Amino acid sequence: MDDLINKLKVEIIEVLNLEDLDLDDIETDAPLFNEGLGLDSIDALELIVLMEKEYGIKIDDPKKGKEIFYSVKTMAEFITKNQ
Amino acid sequence: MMNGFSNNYIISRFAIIRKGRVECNEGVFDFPDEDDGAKFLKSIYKQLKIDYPKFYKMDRLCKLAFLTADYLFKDKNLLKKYQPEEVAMLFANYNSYIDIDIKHNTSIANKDKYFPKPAVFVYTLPNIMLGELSIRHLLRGENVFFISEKFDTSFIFDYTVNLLDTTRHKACVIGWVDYMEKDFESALFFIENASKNKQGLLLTEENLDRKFNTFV
Repeated sequence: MDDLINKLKVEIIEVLNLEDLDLDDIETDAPLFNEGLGLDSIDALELIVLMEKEYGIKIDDPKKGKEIFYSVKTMAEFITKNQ
Repeated sequence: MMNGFSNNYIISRFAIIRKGRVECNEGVFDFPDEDDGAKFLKSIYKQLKIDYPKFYKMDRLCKLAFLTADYLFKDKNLLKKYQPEEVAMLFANYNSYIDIDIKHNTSIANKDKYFPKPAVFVYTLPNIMLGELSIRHLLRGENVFFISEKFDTSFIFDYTVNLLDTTRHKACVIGWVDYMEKDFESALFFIENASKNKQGLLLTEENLDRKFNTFV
């Protein structure tokens, strides 16, 4: 799980163009949206594309997005369950 | 009045970031070990202890303007004298947003992996920088951005005095914010009526030029 979490952090920095962030700047349990990293709806779209392109997981129900993308940890748990 | 001199307005605050150094009304702050622009800006962000997660989403031009403005508005009473609609912004630079334009262009160069990134291309207009400052400091007056070969004090002076003399605006943030690869500089000045602030430097072309070139 730790490897996946670190990989996700690298990918989030890459796809969301957060290039000046270090991996340690992203707290695994912290919220990604609003507070925490302060992501918004455009970023949500990028994360959905990331899930599909990198992990082959399509998120059909947008309502689940809030839970899945709550934090890096919840993203990693969802990938582990669905891959 | 349009002779490079005005008795009515003063430069009450300023903030300049250039060559590993910050200078503002509170003094000079050196960051000698940071020759990389991105690391330098991040060091300033951390030193100012700002909690603004959106900072990391901004492109470097926005970050530079954002941090310089935080030094400019260190005096928390400065903006309390004005309604948000009364403070204008007059900005200029030389390289526009070419730094981020190149990055965007590179990111879509591969036709097999063509996927424009909103996280990159939303930051391809100088107006975005002004928008970020408006949101952060609640500045809702007119704003304008010019592309110019240099910080043209004569033009900036005339424009500012005319703006303050003839419109509803009572204060103006003058800015030069430029970023291209490893070269960057930023200078912000807060201009207001002398009756609103007893401390400041009279707004003249010469004083504006002298302040801008403080530590070139």
